[in-house]
Amino acid sequence: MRKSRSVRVLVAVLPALIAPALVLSVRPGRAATQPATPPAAATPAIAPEAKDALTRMGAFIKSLQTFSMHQDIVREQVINGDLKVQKSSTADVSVRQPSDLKSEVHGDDDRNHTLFFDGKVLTFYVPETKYYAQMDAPGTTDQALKAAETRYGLEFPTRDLLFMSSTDDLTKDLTAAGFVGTSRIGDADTEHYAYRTADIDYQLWIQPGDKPLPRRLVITSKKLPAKPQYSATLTWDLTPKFDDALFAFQPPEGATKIAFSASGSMKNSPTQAQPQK
Amino acid sequence: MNTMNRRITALGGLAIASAVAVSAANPAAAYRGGVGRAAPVNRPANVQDARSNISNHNVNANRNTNVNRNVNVNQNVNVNRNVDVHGGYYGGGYRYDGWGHPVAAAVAVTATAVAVGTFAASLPSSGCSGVSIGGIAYQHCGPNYYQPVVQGGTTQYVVVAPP
Repeated sequence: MRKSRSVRVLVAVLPALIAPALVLSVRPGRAATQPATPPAAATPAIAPEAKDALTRMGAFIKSLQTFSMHQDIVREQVINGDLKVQKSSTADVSVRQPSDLKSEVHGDDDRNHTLFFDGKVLTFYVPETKYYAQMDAPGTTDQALKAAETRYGLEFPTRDLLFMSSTDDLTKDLTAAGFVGTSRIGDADTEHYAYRTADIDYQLWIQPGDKPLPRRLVITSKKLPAKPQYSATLTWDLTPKFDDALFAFQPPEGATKIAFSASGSMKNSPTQAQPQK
Repeated sequence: MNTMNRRITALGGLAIASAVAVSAANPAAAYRGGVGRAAPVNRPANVQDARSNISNHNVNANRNTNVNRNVNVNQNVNVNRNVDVHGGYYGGGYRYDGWGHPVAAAVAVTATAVAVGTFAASLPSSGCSGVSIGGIAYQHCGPNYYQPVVQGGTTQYVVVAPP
């Protein structure tokens, strides 16, 4: 039953998903075998089922007061336009809404760091060097992370899924959406959806039932010719045990405070690599 | 630049001479560093990351900014790779540092002054001493002062005027 539903939906939606400009119905005054030239106006094809899945997932995550999760991440980098390499990392994220966060990241390119937020100050700590940078950000975790990204280019992967002011944040930018099929991720038979926005395509694998959590997220950067992908596999713990100390950053012995640098001030082009003679 | 590329070719011992001609597909063409250069490695504009967020709040969204770059502080790793990618992207004693840029291993501190405002993902592997002046931490390497900052999610070292 599920298979026939998925096939039926797939057939109906996937062509529209792939080429939203194509209208599948026959236009009046033309023969039924008219070649599929795109009409002047693109017709968005957002399958209600896919949009609802996104809304339901967002609402469920918003309802969680505390949770922790583990993320296994593979992120593609494009060298010189067409050489793609994959970089791997993991993140262990602890969240206590609305304003407590700890995220411990380990990964390639020496990107190990821990992020702390306690409702007042966002701290970025690098264990290897014991450098830490802090940013005042009174408010919610969502606000702090958005401010850090805007001001300092600090990305927090899966921010959109975990922190949103409204489920509309996810659905408002959709240009197309559809159900792809079922797929087993880890211990769950998830429902796999594909979504399109102007800048990116993304896919979510969502647990069915009363806990519609995302188990995998893949984002395709379609504006770059090589279309690199970011892929995160997620496991969740909805009953973690937290105490306040977890989210508080205490500089360890020998730690040195440094500054965040605004991403706009980055002016190093290759020509600046030359030492002065 | 041509001198630089030829030097890389010779030392790498790799058949990338044909690729020295500018080719978007050849990472060697983007190299700005070279063996013997003790200057810090700078960030090339030719490495792009896949987006990791559905909605993007980064004001510099359209730049080829990469987050989570290397932090290479006093590392003495010399990885001699023999992966034949585009005629020898790796190899010849070079280490790929995640910037699409070869980094000669165990580079000692240079006596050459580096332009103020230059960003580097790593410091020279030796010869730096940490100092605190006016409450701000610097790394003093040869004639250069580097101030560590967090930028785009990684630690970068920016050359500043002597404090």
